[in-house]
Amino acid sequence: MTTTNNILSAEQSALLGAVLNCVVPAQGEMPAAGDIGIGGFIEAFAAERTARRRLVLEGLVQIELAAAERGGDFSSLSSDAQTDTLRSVESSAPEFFQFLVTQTYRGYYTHETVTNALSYRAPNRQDYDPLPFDESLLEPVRERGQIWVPTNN
Amino acid sequence: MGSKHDIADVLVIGAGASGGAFTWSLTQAGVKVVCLEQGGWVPLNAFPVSEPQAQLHWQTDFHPNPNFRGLPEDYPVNEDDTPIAPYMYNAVGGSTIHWCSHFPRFHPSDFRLKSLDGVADDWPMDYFELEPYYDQNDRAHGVSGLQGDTAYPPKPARPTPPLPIGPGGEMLARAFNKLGWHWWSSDNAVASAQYDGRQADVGEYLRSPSSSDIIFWPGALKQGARLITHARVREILVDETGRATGAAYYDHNGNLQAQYAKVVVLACNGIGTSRLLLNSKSALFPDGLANSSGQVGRNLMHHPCGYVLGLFEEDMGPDSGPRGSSMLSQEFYETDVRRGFVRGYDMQISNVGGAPLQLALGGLVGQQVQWGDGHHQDFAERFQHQMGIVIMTEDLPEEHNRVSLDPSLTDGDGIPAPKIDYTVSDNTWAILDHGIARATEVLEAAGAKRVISSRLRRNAGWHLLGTARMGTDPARSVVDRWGRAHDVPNLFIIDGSIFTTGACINPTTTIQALALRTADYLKGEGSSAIA
Ligand SMILES: Cc1cc2nc3c(=O)[nH]c(=O)nc-3n(C[C@H](O)[C@H](O)[C@H](O)COP(=O)(O)OP(=O)(O)OC[C@H]3O[C@@H](n4cnc5c(N)ncnc54)[C@H](O)[C@@H]3O)c2cc1C
Repeated sequence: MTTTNNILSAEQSALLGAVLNCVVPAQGEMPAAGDIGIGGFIEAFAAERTARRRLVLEGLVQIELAAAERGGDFSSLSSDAQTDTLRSVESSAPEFFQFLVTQTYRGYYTHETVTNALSYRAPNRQDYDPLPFDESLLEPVRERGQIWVPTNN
Repeated sequence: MGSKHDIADVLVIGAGASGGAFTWSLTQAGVKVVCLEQGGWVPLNAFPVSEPQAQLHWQTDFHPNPNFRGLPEDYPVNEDDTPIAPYMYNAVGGSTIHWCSHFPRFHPSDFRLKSLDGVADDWPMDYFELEPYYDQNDRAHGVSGLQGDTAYPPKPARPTPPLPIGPGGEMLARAFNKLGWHWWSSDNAVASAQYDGRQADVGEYLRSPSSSDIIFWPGALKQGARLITHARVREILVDETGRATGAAYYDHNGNLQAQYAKVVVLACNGIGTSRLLLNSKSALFPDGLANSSGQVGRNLMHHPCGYVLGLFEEDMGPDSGPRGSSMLSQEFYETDVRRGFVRGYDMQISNVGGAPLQLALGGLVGQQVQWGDGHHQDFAERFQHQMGIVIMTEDLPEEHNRVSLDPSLTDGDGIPAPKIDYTVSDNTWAILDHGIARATEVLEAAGAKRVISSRLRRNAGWHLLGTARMGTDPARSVVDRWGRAHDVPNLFIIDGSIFTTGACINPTTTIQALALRTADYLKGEGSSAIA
């Protein structure tokens, strides 16, 4: 069987993008997750396994249904109604929702735009300049003396 | 199948922490050692943290749980009936490829639980017998730390200086002092300065730079050891007198081979070794090899862990430096019956989980940053503003905590896979609750504005101990004081399976010290086994 990374229609991709903008919204320097393409990251991950694909496709249907109960397309709802929609899916489809949030964070917090916005630099030799260990802090411990229990064998 | 003429002096199964240390020591004396390891080599720079996506490997192909990772060299472990997921890595270097290098020794009291506390059993040896091997292991690794810890008998000067504790560590140190509690700089197997031709570790790679493939295997190979990788052992072979003759294994092409030896040594960790013994059934050993006591696979001990996270106004500085424990407190390590439990716990302050992804997913505390409108504020409160304390508890041996063979699950070669049945005891729950309350107290004394805790971490099955326990009574234990199986005179076990009790600290330097001691035994007093 051949697999492709594209498992979503244009409408489903747009819906996922809008949902992700609600899971991690834009704020200050920080972009919204849907706007930086985390939907594509989730789609590619879901495409790898049948079970994941089903989880995502069924989860998106759940979101559409919950949005309809609140008056229309997810994208056309107010921000509060969108959040309310997702909260209801979080309790009705917890496995899907946990997957969605975890994958969103995985894509988002390894995206260069985000790590740059956080000024995050992974440990590296050039930047490594630790505070030297201040042994004077241990004075009270030394003063108290031995606490290990002798066993007299 | 291999040739019966190719008989090694010693066959070691498993090239991890214990297998590496043991082979390195034995080959120094010119002993002919062959080692079979189911995994391959992992390059030091396989997972550089400088790559933006590096942290994703933790979640996928470098996950510490073999059930998530699912690489061809892994075997599945049925973890349906345990609240603690088993963690391990299968490669040259074993689980030390993944470890955090925290290197504390046992206390003298840890070898004397029956005498001191009336629980479990005493070890058939003591701290001071192991002490020279702890020292040898410290020198091999270039351990970083600070001499003079009052929770231990005197240790020699640490080969490299202590790891930095950072601004957050200094705040905690002052809080420990305010409460009058013990704390000290942790011993770590990472060299904090250039040592023995190795650069100081600054945390550039996801995998450890102080694993046994780096510390011990290069020397062992130079000294003549033969290491066969992608060789998965199916069973230990025995002759009609009940002596071990070698092992049958699947090579990298999946063909069944045999390697013969005068002495067979198991180093497959607290799950892999009992699995192999239980899979080695024969007419002489119908319940599995070395199992006349029925103790193989039983008494599985972890160190159930709680985790407490303090959130501070102050900036704790960037995510930098080696992974490891920067400081610890052993104030509540020894038994004080007024606390309502026996034995105790170690508080560890660790430099892990500072990368944005790990933090968003909840790190060791396991509570994800909230989604939605409050997301960025919740994230910002934690990012570079948190200090965490691991509560590592003593887990007393209990027969019903065990490794057995799963009736249907197998690995890629069709070898039956292990199943874990494990429950957390009331004593351990009481220790966890005490530890979480005390860690909360010290974090608040340090100025934390909010404290989050997790009573028991599922993803904390790092330590796999006790499933082929050491003892003097063959009816109640599997190996003697040298790690020799009571039932099979030329079969030795050197991994964490042989622990009589588990203490409340990371076990690996004790595992390796025991392995180095057994190697010395085979070079000296026990050398007739390989003559
Ligand atoms: C994420 C993580 C963090 C840790 N942090 C620390 C720490 O900070 N401090 C500490 O002290 N400990 C730590 N540990 C634990 C430490 O790694 C183990 O205690 C140690 O590696 C155990 O040594 P071992 O020799 O018993 O087994 P391992 O090192 O696990 O080696 C066993 C080897 O046997 C091989 N094997 C198994 N079965 C077979 C078979 N049938 N045929 C062939 N080969 C086989 C495996 O592939 C493996 O390579 C950590 C572990 C993990 C996973």
